[in-house]
Amino acid sequence: MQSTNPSVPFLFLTFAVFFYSEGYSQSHFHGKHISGSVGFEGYVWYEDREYEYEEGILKVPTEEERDNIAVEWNLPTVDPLDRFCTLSGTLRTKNSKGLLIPIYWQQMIAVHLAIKAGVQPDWTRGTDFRTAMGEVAMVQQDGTFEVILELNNCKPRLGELRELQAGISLPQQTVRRKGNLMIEYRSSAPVLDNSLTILQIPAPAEIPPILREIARVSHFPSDDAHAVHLIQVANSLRQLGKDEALKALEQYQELSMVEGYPRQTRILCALALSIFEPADPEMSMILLNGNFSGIAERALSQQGDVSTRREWPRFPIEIVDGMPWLYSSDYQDLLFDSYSKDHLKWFRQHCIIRETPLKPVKNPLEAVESMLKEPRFQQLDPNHRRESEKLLKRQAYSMVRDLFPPLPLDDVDEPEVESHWDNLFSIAKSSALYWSEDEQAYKLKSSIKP
Amino acid sequence: MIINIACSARVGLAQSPSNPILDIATWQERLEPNQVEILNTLDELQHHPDIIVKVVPELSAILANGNDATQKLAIRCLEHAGPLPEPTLNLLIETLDHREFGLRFIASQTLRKLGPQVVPKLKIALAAKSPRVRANALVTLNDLITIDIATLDKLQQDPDERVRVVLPRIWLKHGKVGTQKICELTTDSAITVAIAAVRALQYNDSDPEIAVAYLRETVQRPDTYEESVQALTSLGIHAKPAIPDMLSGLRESEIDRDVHRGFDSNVHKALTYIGPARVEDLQRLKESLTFPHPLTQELTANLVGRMGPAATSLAEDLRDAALHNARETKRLKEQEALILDENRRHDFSELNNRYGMACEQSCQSYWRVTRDISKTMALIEQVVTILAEPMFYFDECEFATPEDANVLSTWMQSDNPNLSFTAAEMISKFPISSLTPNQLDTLQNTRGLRWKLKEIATRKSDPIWRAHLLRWTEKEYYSGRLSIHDLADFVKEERLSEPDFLSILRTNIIIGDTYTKTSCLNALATFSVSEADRTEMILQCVRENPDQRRAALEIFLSQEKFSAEQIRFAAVSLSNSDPYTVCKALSLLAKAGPDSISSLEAIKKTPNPNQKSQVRNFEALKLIAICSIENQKIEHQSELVTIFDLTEKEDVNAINLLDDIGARSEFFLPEIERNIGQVLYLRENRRHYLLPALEVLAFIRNDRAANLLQSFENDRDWCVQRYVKHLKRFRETGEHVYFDSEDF
Repeated sequence: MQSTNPSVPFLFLTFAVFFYSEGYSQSHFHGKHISGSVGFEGYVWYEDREYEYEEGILKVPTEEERDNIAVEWNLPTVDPLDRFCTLSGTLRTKNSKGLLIPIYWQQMIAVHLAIKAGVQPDWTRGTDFRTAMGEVAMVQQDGTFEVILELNNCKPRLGELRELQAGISLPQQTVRRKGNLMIEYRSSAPVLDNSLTILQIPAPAEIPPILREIARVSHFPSDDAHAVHLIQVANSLRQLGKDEALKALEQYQELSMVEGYPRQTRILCALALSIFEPADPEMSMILLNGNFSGIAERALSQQGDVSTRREWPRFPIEIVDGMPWLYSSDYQDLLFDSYSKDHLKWFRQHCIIRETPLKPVKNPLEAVESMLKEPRFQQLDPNHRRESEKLLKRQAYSMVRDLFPPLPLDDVDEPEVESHWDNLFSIAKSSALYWSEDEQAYKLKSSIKP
Repeated sequence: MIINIACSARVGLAQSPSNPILDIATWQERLEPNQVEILNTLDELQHHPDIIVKVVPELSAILANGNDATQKLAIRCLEHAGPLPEPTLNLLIETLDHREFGLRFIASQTLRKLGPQVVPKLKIALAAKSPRVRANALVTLNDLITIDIATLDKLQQDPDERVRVVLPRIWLKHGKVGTQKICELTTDSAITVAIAAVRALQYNDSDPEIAVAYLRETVQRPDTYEESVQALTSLGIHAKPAIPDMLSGLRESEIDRDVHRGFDSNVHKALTYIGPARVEDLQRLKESLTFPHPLTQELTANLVGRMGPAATSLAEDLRDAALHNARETKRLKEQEALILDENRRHDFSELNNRYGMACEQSCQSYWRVTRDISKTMALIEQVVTILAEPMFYFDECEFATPEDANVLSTWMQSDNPNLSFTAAEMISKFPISSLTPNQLDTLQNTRGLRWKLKEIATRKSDPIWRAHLLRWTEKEYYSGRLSIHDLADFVKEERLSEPDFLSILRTNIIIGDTYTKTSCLNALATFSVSEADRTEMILQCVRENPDQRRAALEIFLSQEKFSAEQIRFAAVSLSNSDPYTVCKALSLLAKAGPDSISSLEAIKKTPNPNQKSQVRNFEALKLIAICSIENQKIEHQSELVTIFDLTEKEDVNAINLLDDIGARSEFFLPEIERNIGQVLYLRENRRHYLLPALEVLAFIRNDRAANLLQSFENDRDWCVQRYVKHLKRFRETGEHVYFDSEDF
């Protein structure tokens, strides 16, 4: 299911840029970071940073120096799950004898990688989200640089020729008042001619396809990895049987225990809770501990209590009407992060794999409507209820958004499903949505009446 | 109303009996938007079964055709309906096969609440085709009746693990027969069943021997290791025969928990709980002493040590283990130093520590089994030489004799500091009075042992050690190695008694250097000494050292009331050349109020010590003091201004002092109020008087003051506005808010 709304990958990429550049530039950069901003305008992204300027370490290259910069690219690498691609190389410049030597100052750069394989987009006027993904980096004093780009949204499909155009652009550097250095990255800055190249992204390592499928939904719940995707992966896992499914989850855990997979435990938890159920009907499936608020507090405060288990049997996930839902909480990341290898062991020791595949029995918007009227939600305090409502509605909409007319553009930043909920709900009711078992996705019987 | 809707829907259903499926659909369609709300309301009507019973047919319809949310609510409502018709009961039993385990669980709970009426149905359900129904029926039925052995026997052969997994805890009701059956399930092919059986065994008290026999098998299997250890722990001393099996089966997961996560492994706890091993198991324990992981060796050594002389036959093995582990520790330490990666180095050091622990445990156990201190010290000497560092971790040596202490005291004087340190550490774990005061004093002079002995002394409650600590403390103090602060800390930590400390203070307050004297005075200010004692000591200090006068006054000022002696002291201080000392004296006299009447003349005559000094408001302070003593009204506006000036600039105590006066002398207040009004209106340009003036107003409990305060609520200055708001709150609630001057 490809996203029809172009904004989402852009949004994600913007945050990715922010996340990784923080990690890299901060650790190697000599100047003290003062302030910064990051965002996008239309299809163009930008990032501004202000540093305390240290004479002798940083320098603003002259026009001539900029023109002489060339890049020696190293072979790119990808992680075993084929999710992150590491691009690295050395920035060189000509010395007085005309020989190329590594640049001798710290230089900021933006690295661009084309989204589509086999094409050579024109980047003389910079790049944008439609043609490239970008990442900022600090070139070290020995001229080397390294960036990690997430291929998740725009990687070439397996079997495609993985040759992608790459290049670098230089940000505008100005020394400001108080001697601070202002670095302004614009994806619209022209990509240096000398840097353009075609990089061969290596084929991903041979790993069981199910692991790649898990990696695909690792952003659950999001617009790109929603419950429909989770159902698809969960059903594939279920078919493998208990031992193989657990083996796959453990393998995924091993492989994703590297930098860049901050929420790897989230998907493990979501999948394990979706495909397993306790062998003993009396056993609780709530495995988390800690001090939380909202639903988490209710679910965890009395784990052994029968009434709690009646309400939230497999917190923080629940299967309702054949669909996995994630309940909201401020602490959801914390909750998921507390999932560990021990939990997978627990599933091995106490659970069986579900007998039937996950199969939605009604349209997700209606399921959410009923769910939210249940006393367990009504009894939450208003803030937590609102939060859960927002998250559940968002998940429901993500599952069928490709079948619906896109939401108005003013919501492009973060579509406010809630404000359009009534409309969406009536569309969902009037359109004959059904779950296609063959395609493992929602389909429409009749056209949508807007 | 909602019930009416539900009932009217039922009427609608009754009117068209021809096509029930269609009717149910119609009913649902009519009610669908409100279905969840209606069910919620019905659920809340749980104490009115008469109402719920009327809608049982509708609830059954929802149970058959609803979605997850409505089905769940319908099941919950049926819980309160009392006796149910057969079709509804059948539906509930069918729900035990629901695709979601949450709903199955709720259905099972509801069936339980419905009581005996469901028993025949559940008995039939035990033979249902669906294993989910069989398993849920079994657990539900188990709560309602005692299921007979024949039925359970039959279910033990059930091909589905979901049925077998619930059997162990059901068998618990059946005594020895049940225990045997549970034990059989520990070897079940399904891991879930085996684990459930092992877990059930820990609650079995009818036949612990047979349970232990089976657990000795399961503890060897990786999948059931942890549960088996827990079960054995619950079985207590019955589990002794399983100790060697527990050690030989020690799993990575346990090692991980113990070594890397910093808390005791289950097996560690189990061994502590189960108690010493049996003598007949010594041979197997000997094998464990040579196991590759140091944790196994450490635990085994501990276990053998606890057996005491009964395990003498393993003494040589313990010796070998100690030396082996010492060498390993040394080797790993050398390797560790070469590792650059911090994380790896950390892991390495964890393992290394573990070898160290195994080594120390082996030495200790060697002593416990041989009870020969000379041999043990010979071993320790070898170990310490290999390690090139002392040993720290010794358990309490309850078996040690005074002769052992004598031997150790010789070792404590060894030239090898690591050895003497280790010997001192060992002796610290002896029962009380192992060393004579003379021995301690001798050891005190041993190189490198002084601090060690002190550290040990602070841990011990033994009178000999306490006495040693006191002697040591005094000695160290007079040799300049300790400060008054250190001693005060000792008192807080109860390492030094208060009388001892005070005697040191008493001496030092007279003979100490300036710094020591100030420290002594500070210590006195914070110590709960009797008032007379404190005054006497302070005055004594000041008599000897006039430069400590200000510090003394500060200490007195922290009191609420002052003795005649203190007031006299303050009056004498008025002639001091230090303006701050004079200010403190004035403050004290003002605070003492009429009690300091005898000093009035002295105050009036007090010259301003230094007009240019930073104490700009000396005159105002004097005025306050005089007024406070005479209970006199402040009649002149200029005097008030001076006070405000003081409160504005003398930021430390002035406001408090003014408050003090205001609070004490009620009759001051109208006068202040009248004058404040004038100040405020006449001297609009001197806004900086305003805040202290307003603060004084807040203390005046009459309407005029309130009105006056109110009139500033909309002052042009937002700081004043905020301040007035705070003050009004203070007037109303008495809740005093501390205002940070930076706020304004």
